[in-house]
Amino acid sequence: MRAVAIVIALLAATACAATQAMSSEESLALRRAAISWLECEECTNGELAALVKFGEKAVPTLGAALARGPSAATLEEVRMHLEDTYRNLVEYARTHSEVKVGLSEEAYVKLYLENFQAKYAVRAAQGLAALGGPAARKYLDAAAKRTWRKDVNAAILKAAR
Amino acid sequence: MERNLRAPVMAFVAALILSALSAAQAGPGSNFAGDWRLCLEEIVDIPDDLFELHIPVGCELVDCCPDCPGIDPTIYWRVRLEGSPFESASLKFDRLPKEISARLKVSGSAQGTADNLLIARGEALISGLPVEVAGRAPVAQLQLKLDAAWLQAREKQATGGGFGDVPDFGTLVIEQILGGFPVNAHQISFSFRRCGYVPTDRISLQNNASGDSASVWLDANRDGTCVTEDAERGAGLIGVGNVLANGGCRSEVVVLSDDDAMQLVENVSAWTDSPGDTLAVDMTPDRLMAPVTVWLARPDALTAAQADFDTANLLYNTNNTGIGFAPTFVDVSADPLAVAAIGHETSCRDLPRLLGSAYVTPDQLNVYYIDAVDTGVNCSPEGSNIQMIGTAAGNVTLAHEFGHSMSLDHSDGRLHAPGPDIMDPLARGRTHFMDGQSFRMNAHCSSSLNVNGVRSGPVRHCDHTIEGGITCPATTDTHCPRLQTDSVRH
Repeated sequence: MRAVAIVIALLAATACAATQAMSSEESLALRRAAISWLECEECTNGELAALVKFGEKAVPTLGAALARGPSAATLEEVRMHLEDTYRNLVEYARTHSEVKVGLSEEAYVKLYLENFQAKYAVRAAQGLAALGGPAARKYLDAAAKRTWRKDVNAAILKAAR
Repeated sequence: MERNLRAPVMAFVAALILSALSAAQAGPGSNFAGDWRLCLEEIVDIPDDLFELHIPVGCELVDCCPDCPGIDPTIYWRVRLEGSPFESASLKFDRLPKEISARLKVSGSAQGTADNLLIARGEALISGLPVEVAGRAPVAQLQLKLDAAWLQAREKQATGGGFGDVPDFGTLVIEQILGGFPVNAHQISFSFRRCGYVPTDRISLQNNASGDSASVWLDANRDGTCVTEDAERGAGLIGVGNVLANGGCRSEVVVLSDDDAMQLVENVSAWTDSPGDTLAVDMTPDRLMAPVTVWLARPDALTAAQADFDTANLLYNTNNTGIGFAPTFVDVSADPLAVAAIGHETSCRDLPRLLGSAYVTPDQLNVYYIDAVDTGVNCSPEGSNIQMIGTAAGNVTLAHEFGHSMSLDHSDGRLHAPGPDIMDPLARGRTHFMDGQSFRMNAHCSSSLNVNGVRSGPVRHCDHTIEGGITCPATTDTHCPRLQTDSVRH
């Protein structure tokens, strides 16, 4: 884990050195663009193109998202929503027979939380592939060596190619 | 929670605009939590959790602040509570490591410790919070408290007719800041305004399945003025004040309710200039259940598909859309011909091939669970009945795609819904359809509900919809409630 962190830090430092510091507005805009791409549903509103406009500056952000996934705070926000929904489902199922609630709360949360993380990883990899360049390549190569969920693995290998 | 607005008093509507923003300012990509509208009688009965907010501590992105100096390893919270409706907010942190809790510093309008902070109106600073901790993020639990003096004064004014239509606003903004840069933010706004009418004229809901509080929209002649989208709520007999004879005004009623199909009553002739009129609205049939063939084109998709349908049915019904889904699951994952015809992409590129195959049930919704690591897509307008769901779908993805199939376009997240809007392509934790969206799903001419014959009734040609292949006849009535129209609910 420590070694991974060091590699990520070195990659980030390399990428940062190649770019000029951003203004606070630019940093905020990049953060928003990254979130839009990483989390969009069908991504039909030009989310990737908006992120690619940042060029190399977007590489460390996407690289970190690929290496480490969603932030703990974002993951918690998603988890809280899933837990709330599940509780509502159980309550609703008492009076509506079409709802079966075949999963335990733990399984329901796990299913969708893992899907959220999968989406994050794949979108980060696709974003890095779209950005291109040696720094993006390093992140993709590092990711390609990791063990992922089968479908995520295939998508990351495709992006790395 | 059941509501009853029959009490013959003037009441307030409280619109609680809960918006969770990814930055200090609203904008594309920000999270939007909701907008609640409640009457005063309800406020005293509201479950505590409606005023309870949970805000995770930490950055929105793992690369917390792209290219920021990052000198300070901690973040601070700037909390602003403004407006007369709220007296204070209590706050306590869960899962915050003890050593960090002990070092927290508070100033401004905050006082107390990490286990028990009280934030009064004004600005408070809480510093020394972590950017990240090992394991799950700490969460701040906030409980808002209404100002008793404000509430009392407004109640008094309302009963005396002194509280006009200008709402009172209250806002809570929480910014999480690293080295001067906002790295996460949440904003919660509240507005309270007058609602309710003396029940001189009434709408009587009959056969209201489950007896829930329905959302009622009235276009009518009030005081010689043609009004639209006049909102009421109620379960049985609903007071609407003295509605006058139509004159030159459009007169119609829309009712949206749990477990019942939407009712659109056109050309209402029940109103006279005298009080005491009653319009009976029969809420039959029950909720419209759209048949869906679910093609499982990847192994082990059944569990996820059932969970998706459970969630979709929950969300559609509890949002009063009057729509549900009855799936029939067909496992074709071991059939290579089926898998080839359905494809491996959450895209509509091969739609003609799919539509020409044996793996589609005509004139109804079809959902394909495919082996592609993506979320989902609906193939409107050419294939509004076709939904592809990938292996990275969220719990609301299917509900979102069904919204497209029933003509809804993406919203921009600024609809001020009681929960994040299901048609927002970016929001986390989506839970809500606006009444304006429910109306479109039911009444728009290109909605799969009408195209497939699940619903029979008058159709409309509304804005903010997907049309494309389905064109509304030129003579179609274009009168629709605004997309953001919504009623008192919780």
